[in-house]
Parts: sequence; C-alpha cells; structure tokens
Amino acid sequence: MKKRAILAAVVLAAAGITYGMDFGFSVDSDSTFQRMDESEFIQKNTGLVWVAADLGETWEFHGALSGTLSSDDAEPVFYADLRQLSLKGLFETPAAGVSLVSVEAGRFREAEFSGRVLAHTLDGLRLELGLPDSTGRLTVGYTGLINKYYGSVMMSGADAADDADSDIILGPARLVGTLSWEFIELFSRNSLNLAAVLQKDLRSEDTVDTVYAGAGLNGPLGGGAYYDLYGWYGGGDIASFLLGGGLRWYRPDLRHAALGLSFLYAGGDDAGTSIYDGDNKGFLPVAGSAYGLAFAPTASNLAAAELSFSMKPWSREKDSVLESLQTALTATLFFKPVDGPFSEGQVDGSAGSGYLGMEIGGALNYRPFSDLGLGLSLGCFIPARDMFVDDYQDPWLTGKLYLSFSF
Amino acid sequence: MKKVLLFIVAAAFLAAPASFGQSNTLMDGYLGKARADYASSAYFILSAAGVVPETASPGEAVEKARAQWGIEPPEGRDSLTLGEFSHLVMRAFGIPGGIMYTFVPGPRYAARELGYREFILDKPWPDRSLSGEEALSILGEALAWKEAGR
Repeated sequence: MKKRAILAAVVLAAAGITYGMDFGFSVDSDSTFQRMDESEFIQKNTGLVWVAADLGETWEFHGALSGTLSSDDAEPVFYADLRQLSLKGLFETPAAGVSLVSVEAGRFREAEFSGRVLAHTLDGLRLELGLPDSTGRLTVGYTGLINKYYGSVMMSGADAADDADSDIILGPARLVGTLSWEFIELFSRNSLNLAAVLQKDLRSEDTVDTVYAGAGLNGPLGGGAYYDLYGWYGGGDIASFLLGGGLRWYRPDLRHAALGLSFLYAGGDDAGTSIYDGDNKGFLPVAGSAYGLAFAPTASNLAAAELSFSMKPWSREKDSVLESLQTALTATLFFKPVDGPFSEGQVDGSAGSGYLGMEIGGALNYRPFSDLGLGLSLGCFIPARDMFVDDYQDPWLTGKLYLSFSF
Repeated sequence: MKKVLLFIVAAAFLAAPASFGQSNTLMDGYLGKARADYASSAYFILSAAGVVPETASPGEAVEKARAQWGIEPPEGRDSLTLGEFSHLVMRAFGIPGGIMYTFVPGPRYAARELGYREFILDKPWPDRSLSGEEALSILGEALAWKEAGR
C-alpha cells in the first residue's frame, strides 16, 4: 500500500500534475569500534532514497525508504523500512489571527522541545496551528509498525524481551500523543515551551503507561551567551521528574568557538529492581536522548553534567580545504542519584547511589563539500570501579567514523 | 532579510547611471512575475556578476551564457526552473559546487548547492518554478557572497 502511494506520487509528478518534485539518494557509512570487556567492531552501511512533491498548491508528499547492511551481532545482516511517508497540507491564513494551519498524516518524525522525553518516528496525524507569536501542535501516533532497528522505544520488560528476540522486527505497540505550544520570544527574546506527552502501552499485560507535563525556557543572555532550562514531570505508572538545561557561549569571531555547560537530572526509584519492571516509579522517557558515547545511559536515575568546547580552527582561511573542519571536546560526569535500578546492566545492582564515572570525548566534523560529510567521534569512559561489575571496571573506549554522501 | 537582499540587488543595478532606465523597467516587470523568465533572469544574473555590462540586453545575456558555458535556454517555454536559475548563478558567480556538481554540472546539483548554502530559502527542488521576487532574493544572496570575497 505504501509502495503504491510512492509510485502514485512519482506518476503524478511525471504527468506534470504536481507543482514540483525532487528526489535524491544518500549513502551513510558508520564504523564503530568498542572496547569494554572485549573488543568489537561494527560496520553499518545505510542507503536511503527520498522523494518529495507538491500535490497542488496545498498538499506536499514526502517519502523516504532506507536499507541497512549491518555487521552488529544484535541485528540482522540487512533490514529496511520506510523512514517517512506523509502527506502534509499547508493552509495559509485560513482565519483572522491565524497565520498557518498544517495537517500531516502518515509516517513522520516527532520530538518534543527538549528531545529528552520523546524524539521518535510515529505513524499518525499531526496538526499545527501558527499564530503571530506562538505555535501549537497536536500529534497522535503509533510506534508498533516501525522496524525496531530504526526505533528506540524501550520502557518495559516486554519491550526488552522483544528487542532481544530476532523473530520480532517491529517496535513496541504504543500509542503516543503530544500537545505542545511554543510562545516565540515571549519576553526579551526568551521563548517559552509548554508540552504534554501521553504514552499508552497497547499490550494486554505487563503494561507501562505514562504521562508527562513539561515546560522549557530558552533565550539569549547577551554577549553571545544563551541558556535553556526545562523540566518534566512524569506520571501514570511512574512518579518522578526530569530537570535539564545549559549555558552556551558562542563567539563566531573567535574561529566559531562555542563553550557549553549543561546538566541533566532524572529521578530514580530506590525501591525498584529494574527500571523496566513496571513497578519502577523513577523517571522513564518514551524515547529520548541523554549523554555519552561510550557510556550512554537512559535518562532514568541519572544525574549528569557536561562541559563542552568546539571551534573551527581554520574558519578564517577562506580558501583552505579545512575551513569547515569543526573540532570538539567534551567532559561528562555521571552520577546515580538514588539507590535502586539503573538502565545499564554493567552498573552493579547492589551498588548504591554515587559517582559513576567520567567520559572524555572528542569529535571531528568535516564537510569539505555540500554533498559529503565526514565525522570522527571518540569517547573514553572511566568508570568508578566500585559501582560496576567485575568485567567493566577498566576504561571503556568507543570510536565512530561516519561518512555521508548524498546525490 | 528578504527585503534587504532585494534592496542589495536593486541598489547594484540602480547604481549604474547608464543602465538606470533599462534596469529599472526590467526590474519592475520582473518583480511582479509569478514565474521568472529566462532572458530577464540571464540578464540580471550575468550583469550582477559582471559577466556582461549593465547596458547589455537580455538577449545578449542569453547568448553569452550559451557561448561561454554552453547553457542553452529552455525549449518551448519562456520561464525557467529553479535549477536552471541556480545553474546560471553558479556559473556566473563562480560558486564552487559539491562532488556531484563537479562531475555532473547542471541544474539539479546547482539547486542543491544553493539550497545547502541557504541562498534558496524555500524548497531547493530543481524542477519547480520561481517568482521574480524569489529570483532576486537568491541573486541578492549571491551578490552578498561575492561581496564577502568568497
């Protein structure tokens, strides 16, 4: 059915019925070296084809299909899925005081303002309402038709079991709804975000249902400095909160130097046995990112602080081939705020709260041409020995080499 | 920002006294076009880049693009696509392209390049049409790029 929809769009475009269209390809190569208790090298090559078309003056079609060849033992050698397949209608100035209404149906990417609670692909419907000084968005979607190897929803023991079962290729069946409102430059160029996320587990037993309410504020502090601050309360089967934020100082005149300091706190449950056991009251995101490359725990029973610095050393040499090269260094401290379960199994279950370790990271990002991007990221995690089980008490290393070519 | 870029383009043309009358008349008509035409676009691009003098005619600009870069005007229509416009801008201003543009120079990868450089703020689809206002906005970005000594 979905293939037919793509074909229909291509045929419409070829027949000249569309107002414009484009298509393209990209090839991504991702090489990862990991050394924890043992060394491992993982190579992933992903090819993606995309098409976009105007179907009249109001509607847009977007489709993207990708396939991945993987050497990861935890994944099949080849997997594929539709990454996007949506129809979007844009209705400009439909009523007095409203500047834009958009409707999008199909498969699309959805993320709340912080990216800590939900940043995932959904199959569903999204409505946006643009007002002169604010934007509202309502999204309802389903995660159970997405190839699990392109997904990251992990909230229960059943999710973990399905993730480990190679016969199951689709992600957890969950209904997700978000309602968000952004007040753009509400005062002194500071913007306010308000959002609510509802997540309903559609399994029949061992379910984990959650709701979240969050607020965030961001804006400039002057002199090239910016801040952001956000908080989420998680309810339903959990009862905890997440706080995060940071300061960033940009100096484009100093070779695009950027200095950042950020933090994250996600509450835990000292009475739980696993963050996925259904009784855990600690904070648990639907599918959000946290910190780290070598050590990348879920934002649950976690406190972390990161200092980062990046610059483009050759940005002033306008004819240099290295002009676009960006270098970055990070230092991240990880803590377990309370006794109880933690997302990573290498952390000793009997260990209490405390300092978990520090990760030192470095990255090179280079885009010598508009269609070619290269990246190298290195992370070295130095664990607090008394917090980890025996095989994981020495430093962990992860290196990633990334290449992306689009055409 | 768009108005600033249009002002840059307008100022660049109106600053040349000899061409004031022709440029002003052409620009008035061009700005109001829902679909930019090839000949006027070639004139604005090539004269802004200094490839032809401001006193040249649109026809002379078309011939110059054909003679210098082998770029033929579209057959069977007066308007040009975003890709064709981008290709003229890339050639006239000597804007370097990506790997694909280097090996297969043409409208498709020219539009991609100008989209990447954020000269094109709307969809960088090579086959779509563009208005005279959008064309001059893109040209304003190219002029700003040239002024920055890139």
